[in-house]
Amino acid sequence: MKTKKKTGLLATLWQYRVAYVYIAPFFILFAVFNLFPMISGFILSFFRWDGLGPMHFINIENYVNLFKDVLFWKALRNTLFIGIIAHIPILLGGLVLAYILNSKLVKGQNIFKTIYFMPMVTSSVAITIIFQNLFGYNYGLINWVVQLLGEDAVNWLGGDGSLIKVAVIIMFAWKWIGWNMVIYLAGMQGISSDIYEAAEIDGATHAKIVFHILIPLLKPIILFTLIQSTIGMFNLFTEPFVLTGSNWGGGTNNGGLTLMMYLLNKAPQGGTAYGYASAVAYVITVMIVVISLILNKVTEDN
Amino acid sequence: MKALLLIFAAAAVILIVLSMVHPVGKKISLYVILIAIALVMLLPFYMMFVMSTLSTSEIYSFPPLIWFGQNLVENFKNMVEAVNLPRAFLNSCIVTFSYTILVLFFCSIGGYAFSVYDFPGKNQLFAILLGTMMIPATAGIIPWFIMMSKFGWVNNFKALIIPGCANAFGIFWMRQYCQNNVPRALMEAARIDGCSEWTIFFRVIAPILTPAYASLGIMNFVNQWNEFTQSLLILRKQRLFTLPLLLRSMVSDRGTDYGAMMLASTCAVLPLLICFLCASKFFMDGLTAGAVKE
Amino acid sequence: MRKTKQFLAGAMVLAMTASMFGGATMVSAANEDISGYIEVGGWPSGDDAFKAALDGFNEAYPNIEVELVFTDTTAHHQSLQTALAAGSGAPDVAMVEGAYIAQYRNSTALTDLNTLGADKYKDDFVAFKWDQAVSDDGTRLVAIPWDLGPTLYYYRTDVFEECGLPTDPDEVAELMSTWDGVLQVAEAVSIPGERWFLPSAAYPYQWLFINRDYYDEDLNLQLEREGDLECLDACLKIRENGWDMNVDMWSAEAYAAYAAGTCVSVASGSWFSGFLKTDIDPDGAGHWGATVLPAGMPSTNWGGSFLVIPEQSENKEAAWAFVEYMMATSKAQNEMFAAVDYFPAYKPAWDEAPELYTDPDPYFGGQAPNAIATKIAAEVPVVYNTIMDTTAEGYLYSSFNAGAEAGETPEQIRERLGKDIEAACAELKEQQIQALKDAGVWDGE
Repeated sequence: MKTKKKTGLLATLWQYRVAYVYIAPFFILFAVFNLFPMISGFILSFFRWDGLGPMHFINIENYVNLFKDVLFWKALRNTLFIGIIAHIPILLGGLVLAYILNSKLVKGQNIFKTIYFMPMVTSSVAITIIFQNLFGYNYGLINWVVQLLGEDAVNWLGGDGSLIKVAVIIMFAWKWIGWNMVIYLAGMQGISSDIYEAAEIDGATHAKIVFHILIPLLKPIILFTLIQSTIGMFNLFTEPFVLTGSNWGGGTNNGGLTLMMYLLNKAPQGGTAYGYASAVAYVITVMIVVISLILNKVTEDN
Repeated sequence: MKALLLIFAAAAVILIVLSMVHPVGKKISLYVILIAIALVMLLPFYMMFVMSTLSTSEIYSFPPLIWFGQNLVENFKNMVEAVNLPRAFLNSCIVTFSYTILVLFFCSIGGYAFSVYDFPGKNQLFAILLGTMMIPATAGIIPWFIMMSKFGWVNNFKALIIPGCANAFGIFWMRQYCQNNVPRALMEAARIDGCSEWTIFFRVIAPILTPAYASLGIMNFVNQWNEFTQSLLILRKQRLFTLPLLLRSMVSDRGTDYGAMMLASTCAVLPLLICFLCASKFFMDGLTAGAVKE
Repeated sequence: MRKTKQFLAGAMVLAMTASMFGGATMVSAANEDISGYIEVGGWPSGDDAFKAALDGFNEAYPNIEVELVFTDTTAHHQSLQTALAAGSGAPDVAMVEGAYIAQYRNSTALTDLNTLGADKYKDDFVAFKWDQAVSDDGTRLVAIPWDLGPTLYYYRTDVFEECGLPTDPDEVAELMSTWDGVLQVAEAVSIPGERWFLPSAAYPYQWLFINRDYYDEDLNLQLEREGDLECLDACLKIRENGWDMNVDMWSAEAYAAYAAGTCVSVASGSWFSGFLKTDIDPDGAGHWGATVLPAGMPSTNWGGSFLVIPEQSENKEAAWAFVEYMMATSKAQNEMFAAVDYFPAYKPAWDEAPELYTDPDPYFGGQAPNAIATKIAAEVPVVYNTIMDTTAEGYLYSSFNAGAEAGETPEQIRERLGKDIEAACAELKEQQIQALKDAGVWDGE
């Protein structure tokens, strides 16, 4: 019986060997390089380990402590706030830009597209220094403009910590708007231009075309970018970290503390709480999966 | 603060009014918006170029200097003294090109298989593949590093190239493109001609996928070119540094020569930018090839 | 004369090393028995320091090849930590910054240097520093101290002079010996929006804690210090009057302001002298001064680094030869001190070349900051360090800012700081307790 099953499986594998061989590299590399670290990470989340000494099994204490930690909730709130606000320009702006540049309304589309995509090409090391400089309190370009307008200099990255989020949102949106625009543009190539023309002849406004024709047709793409953005939101780290001067607390009143910063502060970058950090990573994973499922459901229903 | 907001509001109102009164006004306001956004996008780059011609004390002076200065030669001297930029450029090229080529190969056959073949477990496997995109890699960084050191891949480019070269995003992207652009009839015809599946892919399908190759290639190239976290752990010798590591190594608690650092950043990014601008039509056509649609 | 003396000292050390390893009794200038390749990792300007002393090392150990692998401080500690946890990939000799040493003191991933013969140097090193590298159960020694950071108060003499203030270190210390005096100076030098007394008003409060003794041995947070409320009161006054830049003292903005003379003073470990000379303000010779901390604050130590040998090193003999030569010979320590201002924790070096410590420093306009640093070094108490210290330190700055922004009183700020630190350090404290339990020295609940 057993052997028969096995030959059955082998037979299937053999029959569809081409397909399996083609998709094998991903699964093999994934199993070798990702699965093992991921499973070890999951096991580690039930231990207390400083990376150097012995490991101590502590059951779900890491998870319990995590949910009791006020900083975790602050980090979650900040992440959601920054993520949601930043994604309004990233998604909506990306869509509108893609629509304009896809239409024949303006000339020089490629130049604009290239310029909007340029932030993706740059190494973040230099760019973060420049943004730090732009938002600087005493010497910053933005405060210079503010002062020219007769206002007091704004302590963007200090103060009571609330403006750090604004700076992070601006920097984050600056970087990602072009990426989303490109993905939407790619999606729009698949939509025949006849649709636009027909709609325009019918006298539909651009807003109508966007909302009634484009968005429904682009739904899978929008869902895809939403999920990508969700992942991006939970991975938000470099921008707030650099802008707050490498402060692991995220600056005054933890204004710029994000979940990824919270995680990395535990380990491996800021501290050595490997077990705890693994627990945080798995909580983040669950949140991403749940949000993705909800997004999936919502876009299906409409 | 208020004055700033007022100006923004006023500008918005003017544009809206302008766009409502006349079609030409509409066009003008459209251009104004596009150019304004473009300027915002370009500002940090402009500042980077400007700073690379200033001394550190000029960079941090008030009011800020927003025009090119005299310190370019000095910065260049300091940069050459401090770091080996050509070497890092070469390292970045080696890592990025080999990574991108492998990604294109593995992801295209994977995405193609998920798109055109029917085989048991296809949907489940694809769901797993998408699911893997959601797990933050940070969770397993220590076990990952242990593995790399067991393989002897510390201080070796392989650690940056091999593990991610068949990635879920790429397979997803290629599958979407294949879904719409691979003509089944052509495959059938080729099969009847007695071509093996392998030949069909390389002779018939691969050329059709060119736009998708271009877009996926550019995206992966850009990501790998800027990769930092893993490189930091793996490449610990100066002569192996990629550009992001090199730039980071110029920043020091002791005091950073920002002029030289900005010049190095400019040198690192300029070739890419020039390529992008010169071939913007080709790149954008490739980048926006109708790869994703249902 | 000096050369012979140094040579003799070097030779003696070599003789001791040689007798340790091979039982050889011959006093020889070069030890050719130990050979091989070692990788030495750290952050700038440790590499400049080693380069300054490397010729001597190569003479003494002609068969050891040394490669310096240097990157910035944070990146260095991160990759060291990862490599130690992974069990391979670490350099043979690594620098560890003072703030991180508490993480490593109980680690078995680092070689117990006593087994290599380090114990004989115990009395040659400054006690509080040596103590930080000893495991909690007192049996193992994981690191050799390199340098101290006696905390100095640096000020711009040119601005002080312009404002009609004294510039002599003793007179400045005298003038600023009370908080009233400090505020008087702050007011005199500051032009709000143009020139500032300090990078941030939070720092005088931080100076009280810069020994990083936030916790006592029972791991209770001990924030109450003598005069801390008066200090906070003065800090708040500085903030209210706009006498501080309100930026991080390590930020690019602050660095530029030190050089431009728009940020008039800052306090740091004495290694900051080297920062000023070579990187922050290389053209600033003659307009910097340094003295003791103001307002009668106790003598403290700010950072300073250590050298460790990971257990995974395959050439510990050569690694130890390197550590021993660099850390425990007056010649190397003083060469490195002259190059990058890393104040030796190795006491014999102080007597070996007294001129390095007492002679006027032209950069400091003929003052001798190192003489003051030497005095401070002798007064620093042995304190208890924990793995929570760096996290706690981060909150001194941000909690003060949050409290000042919210208009709180000194008591409220101290209370807020306590809450913030406890929240941020909860898991680290559990880890510290676990480490102490593992070491068998925790008798709490």
